[in-house]
Amino acid sequence: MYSTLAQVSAAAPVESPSTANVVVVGFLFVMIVLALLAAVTSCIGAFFIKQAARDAAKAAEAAQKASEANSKPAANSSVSTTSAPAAAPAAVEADDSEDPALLAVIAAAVHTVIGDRPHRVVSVRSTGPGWAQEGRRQIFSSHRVR
Amino acid sequence: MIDLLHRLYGNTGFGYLDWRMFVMWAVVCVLLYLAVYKKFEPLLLVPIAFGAILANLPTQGIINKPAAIVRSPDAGEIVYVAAQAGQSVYLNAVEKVMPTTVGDLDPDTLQLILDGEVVEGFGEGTLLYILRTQESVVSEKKPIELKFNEHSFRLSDTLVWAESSGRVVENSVQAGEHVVKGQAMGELHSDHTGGLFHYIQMGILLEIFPPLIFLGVGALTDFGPLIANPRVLLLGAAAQFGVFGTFMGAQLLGFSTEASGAIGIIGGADGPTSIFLANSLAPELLAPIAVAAYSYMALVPVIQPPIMRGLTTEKERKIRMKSLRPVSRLEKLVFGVIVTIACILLVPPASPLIGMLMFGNFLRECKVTERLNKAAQNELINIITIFLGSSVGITMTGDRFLRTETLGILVLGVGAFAVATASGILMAKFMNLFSKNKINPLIGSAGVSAVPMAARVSQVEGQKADPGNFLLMHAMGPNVAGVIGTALVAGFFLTMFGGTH
Repeated sequence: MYSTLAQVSAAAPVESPSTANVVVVGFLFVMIVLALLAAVTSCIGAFFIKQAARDAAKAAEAAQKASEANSKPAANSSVSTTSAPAAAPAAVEADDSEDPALLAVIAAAVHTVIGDRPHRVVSVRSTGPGWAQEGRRQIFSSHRVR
Repeated sequence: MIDLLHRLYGNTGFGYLDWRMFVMWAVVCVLLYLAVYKKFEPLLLVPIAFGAILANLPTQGIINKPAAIVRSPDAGEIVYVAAQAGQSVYLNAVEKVMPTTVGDLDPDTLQLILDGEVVEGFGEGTLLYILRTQESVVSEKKPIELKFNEHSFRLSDTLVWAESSGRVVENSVQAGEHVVKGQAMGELHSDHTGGLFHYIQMGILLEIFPPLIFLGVGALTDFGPLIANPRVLLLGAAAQFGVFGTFMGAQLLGFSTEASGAIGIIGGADGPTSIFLANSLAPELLAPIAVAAYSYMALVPVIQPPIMRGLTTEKERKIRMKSLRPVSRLEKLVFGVIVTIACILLVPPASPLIGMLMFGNFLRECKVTERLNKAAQNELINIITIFLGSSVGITMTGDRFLRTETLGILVLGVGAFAVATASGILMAKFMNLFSKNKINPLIGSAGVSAVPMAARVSQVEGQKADPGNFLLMHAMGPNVAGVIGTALVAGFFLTMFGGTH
């Protein structure tokens, strides 16, 4: 009756699974796969957390050494970029400003620019009426000079 | 003069208007109102609604298919050949869903069609073949034979209609001949090569658009919250119960297994996945499924909050979650690669979706392909959204949409969303029974995909209970897990029921 393999295969009855089986197997499948994925992700996360902790410890150690090295020769240099784990406003030697909020902002800005690299803000000094100059510079640069 | 005016009127589209068009115009107005004034997912609803306007007008050069080879829809025996070389075929200006079997036609209409008469609504010369499929032979124990013009038909015999206007240039089968599915039976030719949306819709039919949308979604999504708190993957998994619950509901309503799977995926709240699966398992239901999925995605801020409030206490809604740890670039890249490998190994049919989602995210996180990342996040996803939305809308013809079957799908779709939302919330509450770091159950509702709308709803509801509580980033975890979970379910259904690939 059938002349080609395609016809024979098309005629073969295919047993479809029952609704309950599909629901139970399907839902368990998704739950198990995502649970396994969660477990694997947790393991990877744990590895990266440990790695980050190790890096932080190393950086702290390096900062400690650098701090000791800096404290020996008289602390006469105004700005130093030697390493430290993070910008700490408490460690800032405030020359011109005692406003802790301003120091925190400066420390955060430094951290944003430098990132995770070890750094330490050791001095904050005003460079004069810089804000007014910057404002004027921006106004001038926003206009085309004819 | 009068004759000229009469001819002019005959060439306008007014003669093709029917009540279904007016109903669909009203539906379009509602969709446009929700999109433009309520701002419910306007990027999706506006293209869908505008496509629907075009679908319900007597257009020309928009959706008509090009004349091509006529292929057998199934394996079986040819019982009647109407197509004759040189015969002209004219389709209606307004697309109509044609009856599929002899039993769907009344005897008078069948007689007129067999006599070659022009029957209103059926075009001219559009019935080409009648096919007795092997499936119908098996299913019909006592077939009813109908005699017409010395031909004998059964109620289950399949009608093969022309899909485009043109001229029959070749007829390659004879009555009594056996054909296999997809075998060429004849050929139509026309100098007109098909409408604009016929070609745009190829992106859906060939399953190109959904994976490309996933590429953009991957490029737009930060997996960091999920990686920082991987247990929320379980919330995304739990929300998939909405899919399976709706699958059961569709089975109870009498839909086929394949159609039930395609309808169930609406509960995943993921438009591209719904289209992808419907196109494979139940292409005839693509329009209502896509419309339901996208419309309900747009209505997430309306559907979810009552369920969220109903299933949680004030105290639970006020739970403040622990801040998420920062996730490094390398960790995100490793996660992406592992998810890609694991998911594709488990469900190969989902590889276009998972593969492109993770590819897009890799472009984002590797930080060395900024131009490609920006293209995927902006130009690519925007262009595809225009095409996908309008292609979905263009399928919303009144004839196809205003059916009991479609209304059933719309009802099941709402149920799917509700069950998925509830499942995610209940899973979060269940996890809190054993967890030291409590999860705010409101983020469970984000386990339905709908990125990032569902996460925003969690944030808004959380802030209603505690204005100082910020749940958005926490909710992004289950939200992304929902996307991965829905793609897995789609792969599971494709593996179980086989697609038309």
